[in-house]
Amino acid sequence: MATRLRKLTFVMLIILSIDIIFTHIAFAESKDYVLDGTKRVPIPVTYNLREVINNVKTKDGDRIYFEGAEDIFRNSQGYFFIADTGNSRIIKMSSNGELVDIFKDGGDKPLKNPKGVFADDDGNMYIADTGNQRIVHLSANGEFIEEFTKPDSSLLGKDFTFEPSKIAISPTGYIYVIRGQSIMIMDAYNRFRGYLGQSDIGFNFIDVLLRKFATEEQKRAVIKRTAAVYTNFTLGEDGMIYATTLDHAEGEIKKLNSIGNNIYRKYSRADRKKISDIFTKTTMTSKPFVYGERADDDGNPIRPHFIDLAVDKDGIVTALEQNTGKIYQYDQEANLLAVFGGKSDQKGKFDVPTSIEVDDDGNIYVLDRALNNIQVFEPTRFIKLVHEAVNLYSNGYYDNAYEVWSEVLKIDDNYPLAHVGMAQALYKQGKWYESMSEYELADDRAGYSLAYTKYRHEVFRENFTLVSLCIILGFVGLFLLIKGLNHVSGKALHEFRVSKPGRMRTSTMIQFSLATIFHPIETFEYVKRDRDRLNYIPTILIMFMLVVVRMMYIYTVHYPLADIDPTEANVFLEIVRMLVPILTWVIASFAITAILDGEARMNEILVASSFCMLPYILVNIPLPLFSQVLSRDESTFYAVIINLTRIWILILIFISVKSMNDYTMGKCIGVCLLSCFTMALIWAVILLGMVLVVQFYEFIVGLIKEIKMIFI
Amino acid sequence: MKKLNFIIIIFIIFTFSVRIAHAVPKLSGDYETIAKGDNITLYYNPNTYTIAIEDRRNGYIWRSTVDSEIYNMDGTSGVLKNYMSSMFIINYAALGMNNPAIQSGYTGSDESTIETQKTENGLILDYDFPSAGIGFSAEIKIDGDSLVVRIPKEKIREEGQFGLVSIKIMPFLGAADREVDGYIFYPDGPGALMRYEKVVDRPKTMREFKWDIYGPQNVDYEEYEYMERFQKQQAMLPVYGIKNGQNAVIAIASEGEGEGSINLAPEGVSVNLNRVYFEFAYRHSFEIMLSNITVHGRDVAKMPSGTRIDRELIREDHEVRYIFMEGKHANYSGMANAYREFLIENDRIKRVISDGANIPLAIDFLMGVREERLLFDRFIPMTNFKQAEFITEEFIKNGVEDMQIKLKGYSKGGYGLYPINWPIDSRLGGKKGFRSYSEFAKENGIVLYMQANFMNALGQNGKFSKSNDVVRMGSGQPVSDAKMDWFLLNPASAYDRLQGFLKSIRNYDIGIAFEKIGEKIYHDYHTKKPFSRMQTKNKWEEMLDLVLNEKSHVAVEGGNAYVLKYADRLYGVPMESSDYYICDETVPFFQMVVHGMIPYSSDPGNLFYDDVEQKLKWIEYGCIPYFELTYKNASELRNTHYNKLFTSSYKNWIDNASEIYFEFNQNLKDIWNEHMVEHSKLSENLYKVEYSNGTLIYINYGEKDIQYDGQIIGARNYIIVEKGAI
Repeated sequence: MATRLRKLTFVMLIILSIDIIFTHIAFAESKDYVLDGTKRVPIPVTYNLREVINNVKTKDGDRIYFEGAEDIFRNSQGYFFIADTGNSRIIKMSSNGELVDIFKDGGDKPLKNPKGVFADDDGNMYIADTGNQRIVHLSANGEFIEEFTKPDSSLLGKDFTFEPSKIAISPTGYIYVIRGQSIMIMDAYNRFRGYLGQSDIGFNFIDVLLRKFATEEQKRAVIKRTAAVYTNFTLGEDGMIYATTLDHAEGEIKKLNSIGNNIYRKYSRADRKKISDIFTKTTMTSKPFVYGERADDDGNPIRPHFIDLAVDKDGIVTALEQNTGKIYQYDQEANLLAVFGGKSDQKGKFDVPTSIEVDDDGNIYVLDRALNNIQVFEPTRFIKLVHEAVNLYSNGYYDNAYEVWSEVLKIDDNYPLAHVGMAQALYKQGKWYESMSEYELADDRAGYSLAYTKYRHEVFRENFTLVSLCIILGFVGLFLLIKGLNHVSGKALHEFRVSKPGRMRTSTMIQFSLATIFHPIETFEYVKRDRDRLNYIPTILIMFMLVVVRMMYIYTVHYPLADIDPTEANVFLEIVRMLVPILTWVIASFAITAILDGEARMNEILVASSFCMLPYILVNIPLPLFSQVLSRDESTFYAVIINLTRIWILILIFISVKSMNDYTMGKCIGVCLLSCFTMALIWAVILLGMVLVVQFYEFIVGLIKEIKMIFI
Repeated sequence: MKKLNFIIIIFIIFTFSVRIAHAVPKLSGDYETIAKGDNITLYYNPNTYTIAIEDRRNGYIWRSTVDSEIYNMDGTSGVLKNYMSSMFIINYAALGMNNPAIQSGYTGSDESTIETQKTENGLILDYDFPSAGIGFSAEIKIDGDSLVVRIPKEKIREEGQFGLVSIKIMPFLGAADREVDGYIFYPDGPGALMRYEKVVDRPKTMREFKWDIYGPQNVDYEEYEYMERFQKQQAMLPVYGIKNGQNAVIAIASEGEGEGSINLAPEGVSVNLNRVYFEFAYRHSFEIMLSNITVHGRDVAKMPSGTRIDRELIREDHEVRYIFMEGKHANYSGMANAYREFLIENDRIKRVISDGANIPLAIDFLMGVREERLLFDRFIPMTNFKQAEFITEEFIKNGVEDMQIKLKGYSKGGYGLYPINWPIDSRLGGKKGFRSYSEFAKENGIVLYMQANFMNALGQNGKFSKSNDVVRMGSGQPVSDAKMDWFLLNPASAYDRLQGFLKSIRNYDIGIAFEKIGEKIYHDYHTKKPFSRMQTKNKWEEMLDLVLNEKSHVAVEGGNAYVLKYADRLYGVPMESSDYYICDETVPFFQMVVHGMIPYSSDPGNLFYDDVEQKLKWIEYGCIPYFELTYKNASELRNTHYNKLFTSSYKNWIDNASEIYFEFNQNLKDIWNEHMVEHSKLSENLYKVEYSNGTLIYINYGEKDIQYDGQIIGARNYIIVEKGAI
């Protein structure tokens, strides 16, 4: 009995001594992921739910519940301040979920629906007393110190309303308040000190037109284009302001420096092309960079609505997306590290999450306005390793980062950023080829291209004679090829000239088609003149080859230069893209020339137009081969070739119209323009027709369903 | 010393007696004794038409309804009062109407008439609801230490325009509030507990929860998808349990369970009592689709819809068995032991594990998978038969003797293309390679399975009829996704396909591992071959039986109770519950029932972020070690639909897997064929598991060493204590 008693007490002691915090480890398949473009790439579990704080314990054992709480803030002392908006109070909580104090008073009147709270290192609180249109400053034990109201400034308009919701105090004592499209700054004397971080809305041609020509009423009816609205912000330990916005053009997450410039990764606008670029730039695949995702779990399009973000001491940003309840984590360079969370009625998931915080150990706290709880997530070993690696890298310890990244890869062989990290380290070590293959594993084409340039340089230097020989042989071969083609096509032309009656043989006709390259005018004239002798097999062949060449191009073009990924291409779309423009051109061109005293018939136009596409085939067969030695640095060269081919084709088409219809230059230009317009018209009509057919189909299907229901 | 003991005992007795007296007042004189079992007595109150069960071992009374003597019902509404004083509640609705209102009938209210008839060891209650034109009868009897409640199908009467939708069985049996020291056990995934006292830690507002037994009753792609996405679990076992102080009860749906569901209402949802009960469906509601022509809305994309209930009654016998426990058996371990005994007695579980057997190492080989590309999908051979043989040999060289190998993605099109094609893909070695590998496996005593799916079908794969072979909803539409690509196979078609498949592999000595059929059953409104859920369940059983007639072994994904009689191995057995806000603890109830009988595995060890934690969990839950491997590197899978396998190269995992195999066999072999008889959480990070031979295992997940019972359990480690060692 005695021993048993001793054991019992022993057990009790042990239970008491064990640290109370226990992480709920989820032993189930991971649903966390990162993104490769828009594709989700599963990764191991990154965060485990540690606890759910559904209410705050008081010392007497009572429970305090939240009601529509909007904001959670953690100060450097480790206290949590919760703006319990629905109950018009601020709750101060210790890190283990116990109540420290409740604050309701704010000087002359109690707090009313406060939506934001900030506390400094000593526990002084600044409360966005939204309902009372002021900011209240309370001491650490809740005594009213001062209040800040609408600043008196002629710079602020008459209809300026001051409804602070998200606030922060800079170490120098300035008060930052979110105000729509920018962050307003006030000083400690309640004076207006300017705005920060207004984004440039850019130039829009339609706006100019509207301003010039629209009446006042029309202007009012059109929704004004405005700069994106800020949703929340936080001060980083690096002195930067990290903010979430609804700016879907430049990036929803911003890192503003002291003068309000966004130095975080931007997107979209940087990719927008200038007119001068059209000739020299190709559309190379670079995985589009966006914050959050543009589709929800079911694939429905959405726009991310980041509602809050938290920044840890190393500058890792964790942002909360409200529509999907997902948490997106980015490193210092805005590389996506992890996505987790979601909306569901289970623990660890959200309903209407409103605020997020992170503590020194990397634990994440998420406040939910509808569930009225705080959920605490703890990083797993995997994501801790990832953090370690990105932090090492951002501080310049590339070799150490390499070590950690290889640890990460032991857990997740396919973690893209780890491969980038490995590739960068290998690059720095001069291992170009290894670096290339790591970049390929990460699907980073730009990085691949960099390593490839170095690698190519090395290979060329080592095999200089062989390379020069190849180049000379290449030129000689090309010269001979052109000569041979010219000879062959000349023979075919001659045969046409001599004009034997009867249909042309297929082989002659193919040779004849090649004459388009060397003697276009003559070729098109023969097409018209000898219309009875035309053989349509080459036309069909060319159409077929167009598609085949396109497919080959997609599969074989050099990795860093590719503008489309074979895994993402759509066969049907490619066929349509290649053939539909030519075929509609034939119809449109025939329609217009027939009206405007043209002489060509439909079949001739078809033959001639197909011949016009020959340059595409001739260029795109050797081009992918040639591209194998190109890197992104030479993409201009590559683009010029592609665009010259396009221009060549357009010139051939123009010549064909002119020479087959005997038009003057001016008339020919007019006819071509009209034909183009007709093409657009045809497409519009087809589209309309298709919409109607679909509608009709749906109607019939619906009707049948409805009738069926009667008999169930 | 003796004095002290005496005082303590007196003190304990005193506190308990006070407690019992406080919590459970004696039955009033209205209750009359009906029957007596070994340890329990059945009482019946003819005034209130309710029953009560006394556990004579300690005098605890289980009431079937809420007694006004115990729970203050003043101020509650009439409906609630009826609800709380009813032993059965029926739901019914008008037939043939769109969006019919579901109405409830309470046996404890004036609207029902009751005829009582005493039988040998129980009684029969005949209920009639004249206004609804519905009647049924409940046979209640004592059988040993259990109470059996049975609703026979032939006694269901329907006259008039209403149809019976469901019957709820004794919703308030054992209902208790936070004052009682106890919990409700519900079979969400492996099993979970809702502790009464934890109500204070929960959100302010809660709702009632419902688990359909053997998978959702509503057959809907989006629902399956949602469950998969959020890892929501169903009730694999048709049981639930209640622990109130020193007494406990486990309820087993022993007949017609496929139409049943387990409902759990935490304290605060309409009544301040925690309660859990079975509800049996007699009709399902289904969505009807109306075209947009009837609705004057402009929203073309959204198909307006309504609901209707089945015209035909699903006539099934339903039986619930309540087994009562007390003292040290009154906990979830006791419930698991009672349920295991029930399964063994009724021959509903097979014992596969023989005495002295090694713990096998389970390996999956992902053989081929397809990457969708521009022109032709690319087939990626991840592991061909030669390579599989090579890896297996490496394992054997390492000294791994007992392996269970499962092949997936061996057929044309690779893994994930359903229904599976025959023959074997030539790029993996073709039939020849398959034969030589299966012979190699046989020579080396390896249990080899082909993973096959007879439930799902993809339109892009073809080879099935989209009109004849697929499951249909009540509206007549096939069950499918938005792209009309994903289908479920009609059970009869699935059976036919299995027969064909068995013919193809007639000459190979290999087992079949069925995907999914231990995870769900469904109701198919097919016009020619309709299936109710129970019929589907029976078909799955026939399929398992068919394989066992021809092949030596069969494995099943999931662990729905009906497969326990046939399966030689279970895989994909969840170790996590759905983790709703009512869940205070996930417990290995399922594992306790099955351990020592059938080997089971959970998720592959290579996909977890921490191999030590994974190993400890396997030990706590009694799983076999399990890995999913490939010959090639996982980076090949990056652009495929199976990129969730993010690390799998055998080179990285072979040593780890072998070590775990040795560790398991060295330490755990003696308990491999034993039942897991007790599991308990000693503190936040410390768990204790006891096996039927008396061996104890302590598992410490924490970062610090823990001393317990004179033993030191290292941080992130476990110890094994054989019987009598302390």
